[in-house]
Amino acid sequence: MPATASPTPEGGDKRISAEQVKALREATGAGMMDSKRALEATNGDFEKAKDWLRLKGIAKAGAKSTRTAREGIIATYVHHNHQLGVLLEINSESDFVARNEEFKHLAHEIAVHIAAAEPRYLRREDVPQGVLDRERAIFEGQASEQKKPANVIEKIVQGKLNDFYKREVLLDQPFAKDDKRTVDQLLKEAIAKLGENITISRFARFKVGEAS
Amino acid sequence: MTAAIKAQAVKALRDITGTGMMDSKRALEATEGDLERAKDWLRQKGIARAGAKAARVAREGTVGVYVHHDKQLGVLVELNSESDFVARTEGFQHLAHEIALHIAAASPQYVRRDDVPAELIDQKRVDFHRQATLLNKPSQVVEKIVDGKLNQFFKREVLLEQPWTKDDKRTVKDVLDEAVSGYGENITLTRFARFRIGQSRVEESDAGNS
Repeated sequence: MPATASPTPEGGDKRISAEQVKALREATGAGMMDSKRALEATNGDFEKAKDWLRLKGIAKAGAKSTRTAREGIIATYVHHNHQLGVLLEINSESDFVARNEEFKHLAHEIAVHIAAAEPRYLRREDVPQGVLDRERAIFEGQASEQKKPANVIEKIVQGKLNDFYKREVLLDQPFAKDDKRTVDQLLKEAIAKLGENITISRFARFKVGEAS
Repeated sequence: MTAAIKAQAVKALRDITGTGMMDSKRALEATEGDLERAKDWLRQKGIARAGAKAARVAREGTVGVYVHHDKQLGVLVELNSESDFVARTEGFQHLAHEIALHIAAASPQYVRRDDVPAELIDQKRVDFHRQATLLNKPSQVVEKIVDGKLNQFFKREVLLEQPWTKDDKRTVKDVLDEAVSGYGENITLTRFARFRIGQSRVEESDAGNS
């Protein structure tokens, strides 16, 4: 469903812009006039305007907020014994590309890859600092047991951290069907081929009995 | 402290890391019985391999999935039983699928009340209180209104408390309880994921403030 609800330009007011009204409408599901009134009553303060609408009983508390203008599809993979399942959101810029067969195939391949390769994180930035610190401490301990000079130790640690990323981070993993490419490279190839940006925004991998 | 290393701790460490008994015992002795540090110690000594997965809980079950035909919405759910036998029955698999469908339609944010962050509940309380005081009611009435609104919030966002989409006289928990008596063993809904295209950032910020 493309988010194409174009704002009816309401240039009348002094300070409240049409974009503000549109953002508030999307965040709260309230109508245009109510959104405008809310912003006027709160001098354009977005958060206060949300509260104002709720106080007046116009916006619902659970209103799902801001739809970003991303297109894409949800891909799944379930192992035949139902002991393992993967859910994946992959995004494109246009609805047109999202419906393309090649794009759907790519999504499915990545879902199967996630099932097999068990990544824990999407990208490097998603690895919590505490986890990284712990890995680093172990690698430093290993390296110092081998009694190497400090500069060599740092190189060894860096190398091991890279191995860690390759093992745990989806975009850094070698693609299961062709380990000469990483998943990131696979995406880049698809971007070049399909002519628009493609990103993975999230995934979930459930194996029965493995929940933390 | 060395004498205090229990056989159970050694066994737990062996199960997790796959290392031998003597190594596991030494690791626990060197780390004063701290399981997490003992794991690191074994890796440092090159005895345990990296990536040893977290302890497996002996749980059976099935993964249920639902994807809307336009591929804009997908749900994954893990439903657990005690025995493999129950997990493989068609009725059980069907129940997992029905729950996935329910989650798609009812968009819960949490499995159970305990999963709702305490700060979010506090924030809701403040909000509801502010709304209720506008009505100029006595304070004990205000408190009742706040409690009522909080319950509505749980009914809307917590899976187990939601009215079952196929029969809103029962909650999802009621449906699970019926399955428990039907199968004669404990059945738990462990986790779910619900993805809708373009909403990933929203869910994070919902949990944080809203």
